[in-house]
Amino acid sequence: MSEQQDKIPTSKVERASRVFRTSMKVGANYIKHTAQKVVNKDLDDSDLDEKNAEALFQMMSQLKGSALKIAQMMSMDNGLLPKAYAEKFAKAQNSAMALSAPLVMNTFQKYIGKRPQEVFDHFSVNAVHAASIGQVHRADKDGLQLAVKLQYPGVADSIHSDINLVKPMFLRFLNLKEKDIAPYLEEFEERLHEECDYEKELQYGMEMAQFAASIPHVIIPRYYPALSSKKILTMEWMEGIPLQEFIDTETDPSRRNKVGQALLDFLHNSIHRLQRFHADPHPGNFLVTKDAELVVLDFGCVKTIPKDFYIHYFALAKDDIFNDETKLRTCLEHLDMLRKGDTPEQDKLFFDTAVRAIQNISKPMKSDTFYFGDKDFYEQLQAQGEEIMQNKEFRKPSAMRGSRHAIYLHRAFFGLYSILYKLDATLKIDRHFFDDIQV
Amino acid sequence: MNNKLQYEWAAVLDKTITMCQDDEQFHQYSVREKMLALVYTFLQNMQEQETHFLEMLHQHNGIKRLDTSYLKDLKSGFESYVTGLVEEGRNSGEIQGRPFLARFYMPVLWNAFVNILYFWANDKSPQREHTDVMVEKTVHFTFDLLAPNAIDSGIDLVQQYLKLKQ
Repeated sequence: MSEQQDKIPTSKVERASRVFRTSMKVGANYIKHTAQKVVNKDLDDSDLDEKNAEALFQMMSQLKGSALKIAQMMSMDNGLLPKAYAEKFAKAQNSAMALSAPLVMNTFQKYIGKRPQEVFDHFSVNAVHAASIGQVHRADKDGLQLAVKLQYPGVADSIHSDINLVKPMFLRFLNLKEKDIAPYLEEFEERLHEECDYEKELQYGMEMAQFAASIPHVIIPRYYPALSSKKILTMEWMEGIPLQEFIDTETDPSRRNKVGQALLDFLHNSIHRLQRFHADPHPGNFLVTKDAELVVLDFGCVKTIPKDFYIHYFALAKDDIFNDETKLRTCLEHLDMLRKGDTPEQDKLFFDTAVRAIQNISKPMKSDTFYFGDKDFYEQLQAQGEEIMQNKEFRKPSAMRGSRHAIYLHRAFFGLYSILYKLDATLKIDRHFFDDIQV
Repeated sequence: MNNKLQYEWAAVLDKTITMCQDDEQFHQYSVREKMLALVYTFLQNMQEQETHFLEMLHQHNGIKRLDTSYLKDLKSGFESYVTGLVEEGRNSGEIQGRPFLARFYMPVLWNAFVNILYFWANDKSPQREHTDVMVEKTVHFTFDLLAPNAIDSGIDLVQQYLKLKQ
C-alpha cells in the first residue's frame, strides 16, 4: 500500500485513466459475480462489495490527495458505504513519504522565504508521518519541540477535478442521481478546500486552543503563525501515544473514562457553545499523554453550523419537544427531513424513520450518566444507516433528505460514539446545554 | 545582444551550482536528489529576473523551441556539471553505465531540463506549484531510465543468447 501511495499522479489524463481502469474492473467483477450467482444462488452480495472495494481502493490510493480524503469521509459515515468499503478506506489513513528532500527545501523557500535550516535549529528532512494531503516533519527551535506540516504541491487545486472523477463511481455504487446529492457534494468540496488551506487551520487551531483551555484534560498544541503559511503549518510537538494504541492497551477503566470524558466534553462544548467543532474525530487525530489527558490534533476539518439549524436539530433531544408532534414536525421540516407536498405514504415513512433515528442518536443525552460501551446501543446506530441504504424507497430522488449541515454533525457524532464505544466508557452527561433551546 | 543573453542564462546556472555546493545538506543527497535540488534552485534563481526570462522563453515557444541556440552557454554549463553527477551516480551504482546507450544520457537530461523551463514559463498555478510536481516527476522518470532496470536485463539476455547460440 505504501508503495502505491508513493507518487502523486497529477495530470488529469493520468487520473482519468486510472478511474477508467477501475470502472472496467468493477464492471468485470459484476459480470463474474452474476455468473457465479447463476451457479450458486445463495451467493452473498457482500462478496461483490469486497471485490469492488479492493478495486476502488487501489484507484483511490493511487490518486492520493483529495480523492483519498473523499473515500475516507464516505467510510466514516456509517451506512453510507457497505461495510467492506468502509474497512478498506479506514486502513488508508497512513502512508509513505512522498516529497523528496529538495522539494521540501524548495517549498520552504517559496512559502517562508528561508530554508528550514535557517528557520529552525534542527529540522528532520525525512518526514516522520505522512497522510493524504501532506507530511509531518520534526524540528526544534530555541529549545521548543515542533511539528511542521507540509502540504503536497498540487493537492489544493485538484480537489474539484478529483470530486468530478470519483463522483460517477460513487453515484453508481450508491444508486443515486447527481442532482439529488449536489448540495452534499458542495459541502464536501467546501470542507476539502478548507482542509487544504493551512492558514484557515491555523486560525481554527488557535481559536480552539483558547476555547478549550477551560475544558479539563483537553490539550491543544500551540500554533506558530510566524512559521506558518498556506502550505506550511508549524505547531508544538506533542508527546503521547496514539488514541488507538491507548484503546488497545490501557487496562485501567478510570483512565479510559477520563479520556472519554475529555473527548465528549470537548465536542459537546464546542458544538453547543461555539457551534463550531472538530468534524473529524477519528482515533488518528488524537494522542493520549501519560497522565491520560487528551491531545487534539489537526483542525483541518472544522464545521460551523448556523444557529437556526443548531436550534432545530438539538431541540429534538428535548423530551417536551420530541413528544409534541406539532413542534416535532416543525423541527423536521426545518431540517429538510419532511417536505410540504409529501404524499401520506412518504410522510409516514420519513417521519417514522426520523423518529427512530432521533431516538437512537439522542439516547445518551437523556440521562445524567451513560454507558457508551453498550453493544445494543452501538449496533442499533450502525444498523440504522445500513437499513436506510437497503430500503429501496430511500433510493428514489425525492428521498435524498436532510440539511447539508447535518453531514458533518453526524460524522462527528458517529466518530465520537465509535471511539467512546471502543473505550467502553461510562460518562457524565452535561445536559444544561439543552436548557435554553426553545422552538 | 545575443552574447549578453547567453551570459545571463549561464550566470544563473553558475550561481545555482555555487549555492548548491555551499549547502551542507546537498553533499549528503543521492545523485537523484542533487539533480532535483539543482533544478529547484535554478528555477528559484530565475525568479529574480522573472519577467526577463519569461519573455525569452515565450519568444521561443512552439516550433521555435527547436532553436536552442540562445541557451548554448547554459547547455554547455549544464552538461559539464551534470556529467560530473552522472559519473558520481555510476560510481555509487545509482546510474547504470551502458556501452552504447550512455551517449544518450546527456541529451535526455538536457531535454528534460529544457522541458521543465518551458513548463515553468507557462505555469499559471499559484506559486507555480505545478512546476514543482513536474520537476519531481521528470527527474524521477529520467533517473529511473538511467538506473539499472529492464533494459540491462534485456541486453544481458541478448548477449547470453548470442554467446550460447554459437
